[in-house]
Amino acid sequence: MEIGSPAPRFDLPGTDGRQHTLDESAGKKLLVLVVSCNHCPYVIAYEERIMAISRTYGPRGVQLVAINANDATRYPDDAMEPMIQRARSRGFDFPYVRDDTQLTVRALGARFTPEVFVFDEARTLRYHGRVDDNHRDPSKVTSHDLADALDALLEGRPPPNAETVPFGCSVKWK
Amino acid sequence: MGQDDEARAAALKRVRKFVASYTTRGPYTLYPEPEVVENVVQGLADNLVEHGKMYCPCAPVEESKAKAHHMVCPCTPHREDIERQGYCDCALFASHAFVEAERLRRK
Repeated sequence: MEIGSPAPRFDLPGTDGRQHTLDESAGKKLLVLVVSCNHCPYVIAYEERIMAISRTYGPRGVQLVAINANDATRYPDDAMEPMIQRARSRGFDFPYVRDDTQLTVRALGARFTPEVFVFDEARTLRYHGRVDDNHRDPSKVTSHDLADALDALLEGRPPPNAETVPFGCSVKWK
Repeated sequence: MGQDDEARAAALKRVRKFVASYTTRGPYTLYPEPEVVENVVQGLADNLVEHGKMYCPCAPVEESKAKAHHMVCPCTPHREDIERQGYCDCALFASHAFVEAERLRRK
């Protein structure tokens, strides 16, 4: 998905037992879609940072939604029940939804977990890429790409880097 | 350079040598984004230092250890993954057809 593209419509079941849609984020200044999963070591490494982003920016009008589209037949750890357990045990304060058809994640053009897409108030893609530049050690991060993009957009500026190369595990396609 | 740094440098050298050799001699090439490839190479070097083997960085190491050599690069599922989606699950190796398709897509 190219910068400037509209957000794909979605209607996906969450670990909270509810359906979550694009429209429910109406009124939020920014929407952050994180293509995620349960078992990828990169996602696990970034989990605290993603939760911190939600905690920090949620009160400022940023809605984060994590989407797991991994093929749960080949990777049962990514099925809804383990997702529910993970969301509960980690205390996610954002929707964690299951994209069984993989249509939403394909529409995003995502390839990795985690991979981040930030949409502005008009739900136009303004940032795409990684969370930051060091998944191994948060203390060695030199480029806080997602946070920088959110700060800029909340202040009415374009993100300093609208696109970065995401890295992680590949989405487990069916 | 400390002992840890030397071990890391040696591991990185070994991983780079393996990757170069595998893509030269085998049917696959590298995933078409150098930054993605470099991240996987660094992850393999990390696992080689910390766990003694080049476990796939895209799989939990403890699970991989339980599968013996199954998830040591080049892992058992990589051929099937490349057959299915054009690249292995770590996005280190890819088919030549996938790389060419990506090149045309980005033109």
